[in-house]
Amino acid sequence: MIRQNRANKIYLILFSFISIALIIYFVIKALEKNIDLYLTPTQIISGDYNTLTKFNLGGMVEDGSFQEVGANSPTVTFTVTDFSNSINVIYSGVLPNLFKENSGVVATGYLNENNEFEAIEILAKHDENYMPIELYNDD
Amino acid sequence: MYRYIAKYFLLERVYRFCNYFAPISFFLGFLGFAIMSYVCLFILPADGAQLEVYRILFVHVPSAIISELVYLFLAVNGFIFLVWRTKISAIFLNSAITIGLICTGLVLVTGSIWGKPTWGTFWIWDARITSTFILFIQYICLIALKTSFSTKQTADQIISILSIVGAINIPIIKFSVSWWNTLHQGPSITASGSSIDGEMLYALPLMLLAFLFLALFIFLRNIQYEILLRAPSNRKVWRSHG
Repeated sequence: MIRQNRANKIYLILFSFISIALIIYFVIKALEKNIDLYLTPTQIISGDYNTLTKFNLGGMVEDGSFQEVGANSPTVTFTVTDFSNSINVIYSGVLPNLFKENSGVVATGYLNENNEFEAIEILAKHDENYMPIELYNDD
Repeated sequence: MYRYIAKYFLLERVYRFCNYFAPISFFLGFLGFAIMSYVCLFILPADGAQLEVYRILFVHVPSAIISELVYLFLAVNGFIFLVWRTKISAIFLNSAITIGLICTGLVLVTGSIWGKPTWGTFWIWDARITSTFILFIQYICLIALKTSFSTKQTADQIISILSIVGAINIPIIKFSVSWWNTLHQGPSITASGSSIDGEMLYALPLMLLAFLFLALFIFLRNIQYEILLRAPSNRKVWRSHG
């Protein structure tokens, strides 16, 4: 039904499309470690990743771990967990509005010699749930 | 089969159709957008965690959906143009680009405005945001290429190729939040249901519909522009203009 020259064109386009898609797939596969925005505590402890320079740590703020260090200092500590491993974070500065326990967080900073994470910047990661404020406050 | 479809896409027919439906589409879109803006801003309850700022979702998500749909539309039309050399698919291709550009721009801007109070930053190079930014650049490239050639024929061919190749980015944008660790949250609406409460959810498809009508308005007017540009001496087109 389709004329031969058109069929050839379709094959050519499909072939080029699939080869370019494969190239992009392999490039992305090779850069996988760089595309991930943050490392989880398990990845940091495994030692497979470079944690000597500045990097991002991501996970959930562990329930009940948030503490203010001094009454008049902006320094806070909390634990970031991925539910199998966890890492202590020290941070002094302004926290984003959505930062709270049992909620996602992405911290930029360094590991210090005690294997604690000294954060320079804290970003809150909100989840995909949306619910009206009345229901939310009832929970 | 070709003959049956082709007669519905005669330039003067398409032109007349656009002339008729563009005002209707603008009216529906504008009305829908006005009503839904009021609903989203004043009637819907605030979100528990994000409070009032979540309301930007109702601009962010529809424009994100349209920006991706438009690109798929471009790719399909590019494919049809390259294989069958149909004039009308080149016109569709050229007319849809600006909608995609506007919507991708809106996604990035509303996302930044949303990001500052919730995440704590305007911009971060995570997978979702970077791939959307690449989509934005793709649209800019398409617009730049569209006007860079001395003949329409060459330009159509080149932007068809670019739109087909660029379609690879669409699944990357869609699945970026599940393939990699990102700051952007995962999808709220999946095959297994929605994690947006029903009290807010109903506004989203309605807002999407309003956006679609507004996008259709731009699309129809662009088609008319392209037809007049390509067939300046087509008497039938001018006659249908009345």
